[in-house]
Amino acid sequence: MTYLKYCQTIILSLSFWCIVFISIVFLQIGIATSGQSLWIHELYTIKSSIAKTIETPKLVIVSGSNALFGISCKMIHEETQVSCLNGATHAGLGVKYILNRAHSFVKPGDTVLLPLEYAHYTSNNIPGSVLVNYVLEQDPKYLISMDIFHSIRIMTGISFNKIAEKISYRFKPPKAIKTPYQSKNINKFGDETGNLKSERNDKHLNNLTQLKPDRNLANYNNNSNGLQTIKDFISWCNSNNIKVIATWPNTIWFDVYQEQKQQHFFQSIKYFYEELSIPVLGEAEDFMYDKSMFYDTRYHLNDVGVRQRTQQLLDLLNPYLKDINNYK
Amino acid sequence: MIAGPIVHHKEVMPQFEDKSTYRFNPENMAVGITIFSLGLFKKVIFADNIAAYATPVFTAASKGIEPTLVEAWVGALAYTLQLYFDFSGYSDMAIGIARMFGIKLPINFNSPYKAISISDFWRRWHITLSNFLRDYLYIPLGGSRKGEIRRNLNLLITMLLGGLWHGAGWTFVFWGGLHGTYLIINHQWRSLRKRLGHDLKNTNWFDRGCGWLLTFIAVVIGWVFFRAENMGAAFVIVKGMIGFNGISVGEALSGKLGFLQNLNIQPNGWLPIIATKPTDVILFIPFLLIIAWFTPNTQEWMERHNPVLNHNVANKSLTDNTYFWKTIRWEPSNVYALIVSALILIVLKMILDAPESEFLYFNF
Repeated sequence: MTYLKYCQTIILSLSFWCIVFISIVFLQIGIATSGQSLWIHELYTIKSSIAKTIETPKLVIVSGSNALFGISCKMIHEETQVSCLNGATHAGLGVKYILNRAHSFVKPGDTVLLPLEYAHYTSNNIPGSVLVNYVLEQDPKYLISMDIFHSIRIMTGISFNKIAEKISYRFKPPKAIKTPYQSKNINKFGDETGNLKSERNDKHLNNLTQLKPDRNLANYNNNSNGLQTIKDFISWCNSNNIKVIATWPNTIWFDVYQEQKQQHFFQSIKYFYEELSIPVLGEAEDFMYDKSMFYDTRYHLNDVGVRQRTQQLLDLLNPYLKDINNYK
Repeated sequence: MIAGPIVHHKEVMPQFEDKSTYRFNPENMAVGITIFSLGLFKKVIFADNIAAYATPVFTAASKGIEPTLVEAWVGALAYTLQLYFDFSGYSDMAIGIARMFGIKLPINFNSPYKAISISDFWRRWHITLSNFLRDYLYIPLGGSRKGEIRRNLNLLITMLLGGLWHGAGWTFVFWGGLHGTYLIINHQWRSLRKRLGHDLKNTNWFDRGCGWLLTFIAVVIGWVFFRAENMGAAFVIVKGMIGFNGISVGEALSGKLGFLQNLNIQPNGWLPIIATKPTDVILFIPFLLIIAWFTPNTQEWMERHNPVLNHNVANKSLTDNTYFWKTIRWEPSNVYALIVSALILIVLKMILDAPESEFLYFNF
């Protein structure tokens, strides 16, 4: 065999292996193996149907699960009579996906509240395992709606283990897939209601005890893809007569967050929104709480925490809620 | 380029001056792409994955957590393999890319873990750095020309500075000093045997086996200092390797070994720090050790195509290889093209794997 032929064979066989791999991934689309993906799918199904039923201008909360487990739209509605949808789902989907899906929740005249998790501001938008599994199992249409490079990253992001798991599921489907949380706990406003302080078990408490300060809260990057995605979303909202308000995610208080690096991180987020003329409600520290207020993770409050956080938010949100009522 | 091979201008300038270098050569491309893909595979699949067993042990040690016997050895061996596949993988990638463009670089790794003495190890590990240290430090210091004591001192100085070359820290200095000491002991041992009338060239399998085992253990201990974040962490791991931190065994053995608790044997699982299935470690570490010890290296596998500049150095160790390895040496063929393309696909796939999300919610 000549050297040239050898090089050509490598290129041809590499193309062949790529086609084989992509074909295998395509064949696995729609096979549900992940409880997490199923839970996210149920959340979006519930929240989409709530969004469709609200005809008056509404407040829509868009973020990962810090708001799902941290803000009560029910309380906001009861106190202000403003229609409210808790559109928060799972931060692991990434800011690009979360904001993309939020388009379907809102319409002109609505107000979007963004209590995005800190990781979203520094995101490089590379699809993570949560998004890859979710899209390939529950939302393959997303692949078509995205640019080719993003879609390829999602398709190639699936791990070999996951492919093997899906193949085994194809031949021997499980009786039931266990989800991390129960979608039956979502109320008619889209809030999670199963995060009761009284129901925390040893694993929840153990997990909370072991949590340490988030080291990423010191690495602000002015040029992150996450910031660009948020900017694009705000611009889309502006062009569709949708008001955007930003606020901070609820997270655990650690003294280290008062240090210069971390303070710079929080201030940078504030400046980012201010430059876009987006109001930011409160300060980051306002929504940092003691571990006793949390349910199981650093972003998930328990019911006691939810009440306190929502009340604080209401005080800050009131002037803007009047605008929504006026629009009615 | 920082990782090596370290190239001397006299080795590459004639190649740059040769006009034929600038013409496309299918042999260079075929050999280069094969070496490059092997290097990439070693780095991404072997080194990056075995690191998962080394990093937790060294991180824990830096926080004062004492790894027990099994875990200390797993951490040290995993790092030994990680470093070799990482470093030699990078070198292969550099050699492969250069070869694609018609440039031959010098050999940098020649199966160092097959070494049967510490001198032999330094003739096989990061060869271009060893040569650099020899030519620009050891020989100008006087080498072995000024008697045994000066030779030993020169060795120690050279290795201490070689340690510093890797990083400004006491762990690197200690590592260099340790290897300097190993080399001095090795030279003294050889001198003693010569005085006793032993023929150093006439060795049997037992001598070679003992030399190989001793060298490998000495190198592994050296790597603990090379990798540890500080001297305290390194000594904690070495203590663990000796057994001074006790032994942790599988929980299934807890009932049976209760009587051994006084001997510091605790049923906390085989790998309480790494927190992985012992079977994964049992499979992966020996698999990589077998590759490092018993398979030909890239240069040997491709020797018919002069993959590196000082090809003769690589050729010598071919005598270690059996008829089987000689028959499967690389030649351009459909089978190898398929294998190389599969390796490239696996590596690309691993590089493109979705990162694990920090927001993973499990069933509580």
